Amino acid sequence: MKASPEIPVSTNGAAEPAPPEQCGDEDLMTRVAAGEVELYEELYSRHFGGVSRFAMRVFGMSPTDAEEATQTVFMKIYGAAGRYNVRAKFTSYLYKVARNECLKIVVKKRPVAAGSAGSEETGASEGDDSGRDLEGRELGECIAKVMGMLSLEQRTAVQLRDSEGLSYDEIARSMDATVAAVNTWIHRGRRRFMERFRELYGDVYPM
Amino acid sequence: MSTRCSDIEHLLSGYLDGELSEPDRVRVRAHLDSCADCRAGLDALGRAAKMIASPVPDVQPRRSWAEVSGEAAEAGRGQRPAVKLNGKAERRRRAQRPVFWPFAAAAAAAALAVVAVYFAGGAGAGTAAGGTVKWAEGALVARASAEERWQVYETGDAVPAGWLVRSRDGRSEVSLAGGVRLELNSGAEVRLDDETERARTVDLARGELCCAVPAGYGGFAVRTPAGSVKVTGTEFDVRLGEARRHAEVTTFRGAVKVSAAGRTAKVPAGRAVTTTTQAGPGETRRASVLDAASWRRAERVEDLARERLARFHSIPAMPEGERKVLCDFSRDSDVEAFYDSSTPRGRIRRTAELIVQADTHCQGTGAMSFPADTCLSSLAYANTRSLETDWSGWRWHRFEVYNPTLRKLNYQLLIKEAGGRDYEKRYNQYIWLDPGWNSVEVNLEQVAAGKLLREKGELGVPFDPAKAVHWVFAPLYEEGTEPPGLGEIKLVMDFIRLEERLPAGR
Repeated sequence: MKASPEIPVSTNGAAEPAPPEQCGDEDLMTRVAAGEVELYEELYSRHFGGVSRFAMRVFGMSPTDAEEATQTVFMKIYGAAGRYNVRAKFTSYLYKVARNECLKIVVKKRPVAAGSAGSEETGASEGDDSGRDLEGRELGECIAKVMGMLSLEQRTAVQLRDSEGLSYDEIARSMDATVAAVNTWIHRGRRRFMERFRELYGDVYPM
Repeated sequence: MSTRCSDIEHLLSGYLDGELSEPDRVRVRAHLDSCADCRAGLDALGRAAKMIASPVPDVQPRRSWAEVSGEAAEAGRGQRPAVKLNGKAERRRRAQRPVFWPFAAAAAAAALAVVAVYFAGGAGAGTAAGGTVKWAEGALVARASAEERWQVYETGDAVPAGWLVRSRDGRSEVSLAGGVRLELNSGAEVRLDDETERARTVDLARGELCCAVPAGYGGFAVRTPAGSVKVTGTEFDVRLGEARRHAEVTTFRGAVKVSAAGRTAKVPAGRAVTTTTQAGPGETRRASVLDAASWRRAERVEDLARERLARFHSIPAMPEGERKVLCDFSRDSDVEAFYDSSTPRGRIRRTAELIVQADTHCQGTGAMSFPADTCLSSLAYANTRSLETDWSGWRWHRFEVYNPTLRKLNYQLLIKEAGGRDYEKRYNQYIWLDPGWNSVEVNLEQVAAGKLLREKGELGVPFDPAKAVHWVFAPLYEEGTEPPGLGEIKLVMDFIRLEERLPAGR
């Protein structure tokens, strides 16, 4: 009996692992922990956007700060790869680390950012300035503004659900909360989002 | 039997996301079939979800992971790799694994500085080159000794070593050989002194000075009558007190060690210390970096507070003297602040929407230890109505407050419990706010356990955090102390939140 049960997808007898793009997050992370560190690139590019969005929408970071925060998060996870627990969904783990790191960064940066970083934030957004894009960005700003009116838990839960598509269970694990609490946060968060959005921007962006 | 809307309303998001149990799903489904209102509600939730899901621009990584980790590796030469490899895999992969160390360590390594504090009497005349005037808002004047007249130096002029330099009627900057920049606040006096054993010394005789010393600079010291600061590559601010007996050292970058009168204090970036002629440096504290650096941006502390206040939307047409500001105090919760600067001394007007009536509240403040006639001349209330109202399970309530005045302010944090008597004093907390930013932490467990009671004999009913409604923040002036002038108080609150534990690294 030489069948190898470790390899989930048996190809044609040879134990050739699947290409990284087809692997699940958990598989990739496990293989990174076992030494195939180059596979981390795939995880990084796969989740960079999600973590950056998370940092921007939930913690109100500028794109530049968010990029830096995201790199820190990936550093952290890479550094602790040996301790990765396969039972947890990778995304739960990822956003748990992201949340903690962002909190730390926000706490640390606060007093200085207030005075000196103001100019940086406005100058940070670069790129195409076509009319349509501008319109889109404005809507984005409105959304960010209204998101800022939710509680941290509501923002976190709503962002993970609606933008990153995590299940309630995954969100609960990443926030160390119960599914019922997540349900409440998401529901109240969306309701509040809707109310505030209508109140502030209803005439510009009817919803 | 039909369900009521209120019974299923809280399930709508779960229904939308397919996260309900089967019985709940059926129940909601049945209700939706018969209720147009709830169908509209569901639609609206769906639209909100869609909007939240709309993409944020510019979130592609600009660099690959290999580049990111490679860069960190360069910054942290010699650090051991963070990923532990084992057995065969390690041998196989060793050649190609990226080596790096965490960012924090890399950043900390950027600058290392040593500060030695010793008392300076007169300084010997030096032979080193002086400095070059970079710019001056008013006039930069210098003289060789107290007997001589001040001479004006223009931008680009070289000031001889050993001369006393004064920044008159404005700020100015002088650069020294090796890339050291000295920014002088208005009225500051420095002597560009001798250079011995690669250590450059500048005497600060009066006022405030900010020094930027490039990394790798041999040695640099600022001497003041209250001690001196020696560094090698950092940026810091030294403010000498009027009486020239104490100095404040604030570090912006790197870290410095301050020692005087046999004591030593290490001052890392973002922290400050006060050192005195007699006692040497005290405990370091979190720096009001904003304050320490504000003069360089020609900002007064008050202007900074105003700038922060400008983020609020003022609501016009309030009764005379009353201003209600609805604001983004924090990103975590919105706060309503009530600001009333016209209240005559001893009389508290009722502010528009305070949940508790301010007048009755303050009439009863004998118990809160200020009699009515020494009461507030200026009143700023802020409450967090939309902070989570259930505080159970939370350990800390943390927020930051900016005190733009130059004095310590005594505040009371009034914590309200639903169903309890309004503002029961046993839950209230007294806080002193230093000038500048203050980080206030309230240990909710202790509040709940009634451990922070000020009033004797009041130990009793424990606070029920599940019923906390909100808190109100009110200034207190003790009897006999001078209350701030009308309108002087401006509170800027930020980053209010409940949290489970103290963030690491504090």
